[in-house]
Amino acid sequence: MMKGMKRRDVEGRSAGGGMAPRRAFGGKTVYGARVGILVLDSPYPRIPGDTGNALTWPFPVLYKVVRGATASRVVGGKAKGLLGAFLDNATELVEMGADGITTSCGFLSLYQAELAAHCGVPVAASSLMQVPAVAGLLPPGKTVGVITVSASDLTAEHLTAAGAPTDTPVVGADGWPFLEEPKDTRPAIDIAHCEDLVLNAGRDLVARHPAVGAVVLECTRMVPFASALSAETGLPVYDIYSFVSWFHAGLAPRDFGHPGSAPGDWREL
Amino acid sequence: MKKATAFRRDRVAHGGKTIYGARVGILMLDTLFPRIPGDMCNALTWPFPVLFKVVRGATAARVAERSQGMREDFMVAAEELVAEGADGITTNCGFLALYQDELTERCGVPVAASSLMQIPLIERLFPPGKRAGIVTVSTVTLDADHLKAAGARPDTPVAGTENGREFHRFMHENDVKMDVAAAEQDLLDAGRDLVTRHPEVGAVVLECTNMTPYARAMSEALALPVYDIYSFVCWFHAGLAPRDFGHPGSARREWRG
Repeated sequence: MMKGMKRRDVEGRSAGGGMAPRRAFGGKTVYGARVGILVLDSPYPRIPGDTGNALTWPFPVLYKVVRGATASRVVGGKAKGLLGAFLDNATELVEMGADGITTSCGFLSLYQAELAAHCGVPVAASSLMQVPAVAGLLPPGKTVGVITVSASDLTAEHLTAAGAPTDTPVVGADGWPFLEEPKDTRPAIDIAHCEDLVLNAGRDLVARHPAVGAVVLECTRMVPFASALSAETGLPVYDIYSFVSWFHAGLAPRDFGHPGSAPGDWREL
Repeated sequence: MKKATAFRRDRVAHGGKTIYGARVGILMLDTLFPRIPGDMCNALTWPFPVLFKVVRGATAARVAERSQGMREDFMVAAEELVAEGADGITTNCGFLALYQDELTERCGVPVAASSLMQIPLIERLFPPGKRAGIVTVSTVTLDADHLKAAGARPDTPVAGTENGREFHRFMHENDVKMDVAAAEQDLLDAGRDLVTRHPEVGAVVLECTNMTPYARAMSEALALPVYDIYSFVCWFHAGLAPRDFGHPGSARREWRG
């Protein structure tokens, strides 16, 4: 045992073993939650799978609600007048401990550039930013299609800000209930109805655009239905869950343990 | 009675391939060097099942010299993986970005051939002026063709391990024994070299799939995000098999592999 330790010390390879210092470095308030999520101001339920349900994530996250940023203002009103609020809240998340920023609305691709320039940390504002990467996976002649809460509100400006081609096929889940002004402080939503809207939009997308080879979901509330949509259409489905999980994988690369990060020999039979 | 019929309809399972549940197929070079946890070809690396296929005769040297005879072997192996049950294909060498287009054409399923394909997406996370930088096993081998095939700009900053002590050696010699700590030092040296020469680098991409075990150490040493084949294939898989979050988002439905 002692002999082994000595050998490693002599060779200078004891990355964290025996005599190595065990200093820890600070500089922020909260640790371990690397992604900060800017959440729209909405009283509607956020079920498991939704960005705003903490159980969705296989890693801890930090949340910040942007008061006044309602779905109708962000989706229908192009988030006009809300930039300052988003930037201020993003700064607070970074000061608290976030090493990357995302949002709870795909339409906020509009603020990707401003958020990235302002925060000083990487920003993954919108699921739509995956469109070019998904397109790169597909066979020639196949394209990426988008399902959004409102096709009429999703403009070329939103797509361009996400790096997606402006001729990307887009279908809306018309009648998406989360866009309505809530009439209640604890409003109820029929989740089965939401799933139907997403599946119908998916069927519509592939019927109108047979070249679609994969789907990207704009809305962070559609994640719970991605599995059903993939089974229904037979296509891969990417969403804010796949995007932020990837984002986090780079912010906090997994530690695979021995022997990659500890001393000692390793063999497998 | 009516209820029972509806229930049965919800429980139809659909077939059409041989193996189910392993959605990603991995094309492997023909090697004997150790593949520790974190390496793409250590099955413990993946939080989901995968299918492996070794392309016999595909040595690292032949990949580096772009042997044409090898190309068809990769295509045939990819087709076999799809017939067995893979719904997406990846490879265990970042240089195989060169095969991306042909693989998608031949297989008909999505293909994520190289970690380098993440570069355009990573650059979108940053303001203009911040770049993704590459750490590769060999800057001698990596050229503009690989970058172009991956959708990365030809002037992407690159550093390599070819002048190091161990990482390049054990792969190049196909040695059955490697010094993991020394390999890690090579990676950290290359990372430091990258950010010293290119202070505009805001995130690192690891070209080589044997580098993943050291991504964590590099991220801590450089205080930068590090993307690799592990982040890429986990993302790839997330779209091929979207997670089922259970009640109330999902109901009983027909099953397809």
